[in-house]
Amino acid sequence: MTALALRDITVTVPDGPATRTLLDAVDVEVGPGEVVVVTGASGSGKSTLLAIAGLLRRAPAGEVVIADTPTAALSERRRTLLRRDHVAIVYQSANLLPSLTAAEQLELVGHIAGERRADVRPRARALLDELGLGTGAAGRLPAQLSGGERQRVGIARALMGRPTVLLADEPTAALDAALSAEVAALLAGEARAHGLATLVVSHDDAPLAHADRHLHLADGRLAERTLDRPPAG
Amino acid sequence: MFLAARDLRRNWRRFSLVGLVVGLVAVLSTVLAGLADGLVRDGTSGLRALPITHLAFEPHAKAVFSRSTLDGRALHAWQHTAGVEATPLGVSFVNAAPAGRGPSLDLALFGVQPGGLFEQSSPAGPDRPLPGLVLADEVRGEGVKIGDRYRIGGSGVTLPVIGFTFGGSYGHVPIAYVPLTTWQAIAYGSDPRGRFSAVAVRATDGADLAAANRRAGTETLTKEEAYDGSPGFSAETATMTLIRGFLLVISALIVGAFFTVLTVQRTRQIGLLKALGASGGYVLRDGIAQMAAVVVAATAAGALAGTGIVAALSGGPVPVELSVDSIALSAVLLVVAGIGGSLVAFRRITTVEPAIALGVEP
Repeated sequence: MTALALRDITVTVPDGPATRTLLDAVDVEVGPGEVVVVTGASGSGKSTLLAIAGLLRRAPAGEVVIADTPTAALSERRRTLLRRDHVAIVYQSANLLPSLTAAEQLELVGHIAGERRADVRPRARALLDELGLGTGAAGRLPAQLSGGERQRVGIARALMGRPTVLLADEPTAALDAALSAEVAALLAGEARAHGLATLVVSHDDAPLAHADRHLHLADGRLAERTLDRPPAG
Repeated sequence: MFLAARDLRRNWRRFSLVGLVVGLVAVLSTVLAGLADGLVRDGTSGLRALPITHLAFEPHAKAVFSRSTLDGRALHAWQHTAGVEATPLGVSFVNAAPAGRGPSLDLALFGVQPGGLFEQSSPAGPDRPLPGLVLADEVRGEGVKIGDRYRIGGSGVTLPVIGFTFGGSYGHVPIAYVPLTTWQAIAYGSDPRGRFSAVAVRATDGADLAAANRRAGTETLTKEEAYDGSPGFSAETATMTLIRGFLLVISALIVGAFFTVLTVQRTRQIGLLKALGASGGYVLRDGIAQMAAVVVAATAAGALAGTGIVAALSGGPVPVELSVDSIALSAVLLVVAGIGGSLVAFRRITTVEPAIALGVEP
């Protein structure tokens, strides 16, 4: 099964009177349980790559395949449904909703998917437990959680929808070195445990310690880089 | 309403200001509804209380009694129409000055024939009309007593007060019933020639009013249509309608502006919801439910407070009337206006791209 594939993705952006090629015929495929980390300088197009992979924006050229489904010709409604059912994103700074408790951040995912609350609540609690967030944290608002706890909630929320593809946007950028290593390990471990095709974009090295593959984005092109250790999986 | 309900509960302070403003608009709207109904009552309760269905006027009188003069020929035509009870009615506005002690009174003088349609209001003795005033109950509160004598301005006629009845008011002044012959003497002096203002009609459904109009040379209005002829009635109702309309527009603009700002502030949150797989409809429903909850709660509280104010004013010098229908309609219109105003804001929701959640320009 093709969990996630980006084929021949090209994106150009206005750059003064001219245009700049942000992504130049990019190809990448990520299999179930595989963790691929994309590094690159700020402004190199990593977040754009992630937005296209997550069906958050359309690629002007190329094809994105998610769970064996080519998406270029799909309507916005179908893309939304595919995103809901197969794609989850872990954000920089967690990006939690300020008026929901940790447990409710997860329950919201079930609510959006139209699941029964009686099914959603125990699963949310179980995931929070799995991520090391006890009963105390479950009832707290984001403002009452530490940075590490917020990011754990963000990862748990991503797992809540039982996705096929997990995307992470600078998941350790807002954390100190110790927490970065901890969150990166947790993210990769959960991704493998749940068999998710995982694409992480990062400008710091913490996620690389747990990557199966390392790609570097520069001048719009993705280049495979050798990991200075055996693949983590 | 998963997110909306929790957001309301945990961030209620954010919504309290707009809730307070909508609530105050609801108070004002409710009091105005009570005042509008009170003014209508004050202007037309006398007509409303008459046990009739229609009034026949001289053509082009537009329900204004002072512009209409009919005579026995018209009355005869109406009284000989099948399915119709008809009686003459004379209406004029007079000032009654006390011949002895007592307050000066502005009165709507209703001249009626004893018996028939106006039996209860008619000043009648066993065999003939009694020349005297039967006053609306509310005048009693001004210290007027049975037996007081009043000089009717411009006529030289002096009449005793011979009773009180529920007469109501017309054109914001209390009604005084007098026998038609007395009214004619006051209105036309020594040459009444059987004239009066209009024919009061009680018609059954099948009555041929058009044919009666042709024979009588009259123009017939329903009792409710005849309210328009009450002095100031049209201007008052138009003014009240205009003020209440403005309030609805103001309310719609306030709610619209608030939710526009809120939507702009929440752009990234909306993007996140969409990135989580929420459809535009899901986000829209959540926003509308939140706005509706605020507007409904604030309007209900405001309408309740306004009802209290109207109840407190009731019976005083300000003409107000507590009408549940009217207050409920006013509240419903306010809610509809609020929802209408917010729809402009919610249009923005549909344009927010999910890529915003990643901080990527779509």
